[in-house]
Amino acid sequence: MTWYEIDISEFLSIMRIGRTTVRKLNEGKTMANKIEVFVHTNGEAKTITIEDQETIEQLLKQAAPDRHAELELFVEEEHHERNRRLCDVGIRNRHHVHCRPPEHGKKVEISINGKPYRTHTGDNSVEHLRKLGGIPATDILSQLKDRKFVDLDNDAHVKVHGHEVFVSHPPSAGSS
Amino acid sequence: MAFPRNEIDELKQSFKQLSAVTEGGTEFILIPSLMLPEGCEPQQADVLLCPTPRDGYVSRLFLSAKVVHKGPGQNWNASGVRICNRAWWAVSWNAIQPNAQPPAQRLAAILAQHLEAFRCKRN
Repeated sequence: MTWYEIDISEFLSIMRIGRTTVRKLNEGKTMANKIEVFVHTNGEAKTITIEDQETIEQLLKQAAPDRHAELELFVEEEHHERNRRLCDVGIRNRHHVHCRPPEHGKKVEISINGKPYRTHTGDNSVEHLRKLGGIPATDILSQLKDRKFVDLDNDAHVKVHGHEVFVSHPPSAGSS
Repeated sequence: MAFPRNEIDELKQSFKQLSAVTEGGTEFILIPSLMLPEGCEPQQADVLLCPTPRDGYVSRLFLSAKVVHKGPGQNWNASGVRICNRAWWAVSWNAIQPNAQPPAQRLAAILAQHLEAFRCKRN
């Protein structure tokens, strides 16, 4: 080991430069966090572990390696460009996002409690339908389909083609 | 009392053969072949919805058969009652609290609430 003699002012100067260099290296870059994202594609959910500094493009590649190029990503029904970073579009840990081809995003009319609403075709989250129709969280939301009321779980998805009928109601008081 | 047109239209999107029947001044909606919740035997039945107060209930749902099911509505307190020349069965079921101010409910919502009596609760 070789020892060098330097005076204290020289030592402090080296430390200052060192600190500045570290600061410069870190500029424009925050700490990356590994997050888990639930990606819903064509009725199936896939859990993807990814850094939040990655782009939507990268997330799509991981979620659908064979057909990522034909998919678009939506966060709470808002479409985001592929080059945007996950952290910049509000995708956090355990967030649910939706992928679908552009033609599936076509808007159609559905009915919620007798009122017409427009939403995209393909998978619609029940959460989105509740928001759209202003359905209180305590109410039961059902789809009226083929002469049957189908109760919808809050974390489920419904394939929309147009003209679907949804009905909500508060839970019954029960038997007397 | 005529039922609101848009509420009837909403039901008609799924039940094509809907009809209104009147007896003793009470109007009912007759829905043929309604699919009952999972686990019911038979799986479908004709139903007669009375959306106005009757028998001490805010609304009632009559079925064309005494359905075997595992839902919470097991108290059949109308058995073979004759309405419009046909026998009907109904369970004791309060779609809303009897002493509560009834909110304005759509016909489809009233029907869905009555069907809860026959639905197995998931844990």
